[in-house]
Amino acid sequence: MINVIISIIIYFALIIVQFVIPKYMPFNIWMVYPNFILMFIVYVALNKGIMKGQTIGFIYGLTWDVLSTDIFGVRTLSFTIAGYLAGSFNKKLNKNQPLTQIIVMAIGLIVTHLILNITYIIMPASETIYIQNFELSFLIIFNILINLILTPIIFKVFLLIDKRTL
Amino acid sequence: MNTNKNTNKVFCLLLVISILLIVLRLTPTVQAIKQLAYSVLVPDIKFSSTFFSKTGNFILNLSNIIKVNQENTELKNENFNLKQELSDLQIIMEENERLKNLLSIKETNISKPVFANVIVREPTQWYKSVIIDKGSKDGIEIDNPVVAVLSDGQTCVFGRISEVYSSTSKVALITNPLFSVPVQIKDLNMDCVCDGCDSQYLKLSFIPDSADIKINDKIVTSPLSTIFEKGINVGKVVDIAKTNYGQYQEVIVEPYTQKQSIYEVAVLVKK
Repeated sequence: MINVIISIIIYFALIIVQFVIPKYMPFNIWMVYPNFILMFIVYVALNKGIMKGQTIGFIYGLTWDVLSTDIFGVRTLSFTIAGYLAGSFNKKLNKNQPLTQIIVMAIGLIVTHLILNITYIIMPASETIYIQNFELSFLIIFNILINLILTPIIFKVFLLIDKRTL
Repeated sequence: MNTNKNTNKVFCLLLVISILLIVLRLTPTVQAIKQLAYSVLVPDIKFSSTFFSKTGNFILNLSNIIKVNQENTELKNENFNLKQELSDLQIIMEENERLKNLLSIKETNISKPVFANVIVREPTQWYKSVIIDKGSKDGIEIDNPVVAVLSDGQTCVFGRISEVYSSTSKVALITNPLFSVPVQIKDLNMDCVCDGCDSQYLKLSFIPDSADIKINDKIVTSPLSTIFEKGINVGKVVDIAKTNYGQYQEVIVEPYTQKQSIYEVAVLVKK
């Protein structure tokens, strides 16, 4: 029961961290801010395996879709795949190595952006913005870099929480 | 192996659901599910957003208050410094005015002015003497007359040199009891002697009872004076008293040098 409550608290806390705090962060000026949810999915997948990774990816993807005006389901799909891929490295790589964390996170980020862009190309609906323009592409690369730089630090924070709760 | 199979099955199921959500995103059922989930999540997000926004505003307000406080302190300091500068400027302007007035004392055939600052005026010797910053090196000698220029531009008797040192001199003031100078009541052309009383007033001696002296009559130095040139202002009559015992009357004079503080004087040195 306690585990369920803790999981719910972490779930809501992460949503708040992802959707509320970025408004007050300096990176937000350039429309760039860390993807804490994807980091969490990758962390869980890398540490707990495919099953937990893909499930958490699915739940958070669905939550993100509910809260965003993007194509509904696109993040559910991309985060589920990211969780699955990151989980497949569980027990195969040294998960405590920052380089491993960065590489797996990079795979997760690239896959997510790839799926998002492919979906936008396949289903160009009026509600979506097809990212084509160079400036926006540059922003995506910048976004990925920021996330990769922050990954080892955020993973350390997750590890601290993990030791006490997860 | 079995776990892997299950994992793959779940993955496939989740993929199918995701794809179905994408494909069927505009159907009423999916829209209804989205709306339901949205209504559960949004209050939480809204509350957090309001909380963080309020906290952010609070921090911003707090930092503004601190900034304003710092700015206030800086402005207060600046204001204090400016007031100080203004006060200094006023002092300098007043001094400048006094020095300009002092320059009205011109060199004559008999004497030339040596300008000096009053550097010491002891409280116990208040009406007796002051010390000035010029001495024998500047050509000052004992008994040289000392005059001052008032703010209205008139030159008046201040005293005479009583002691001379190399770079300083002591001036016996006109109010010194040992100081006497022959003076003249300007309108009457009557000569008499003016004595110091160790107070803010002077006393005129040897004035016949018949003399028609009035209050505010001007007193100037007499041509009989061996120290001062004739016609230098001394003061004005403030009181007249008839003596019972003789044919003279007693006249009290207020020296002009008592009307204001004197910081600069001119010593009239013989050529």
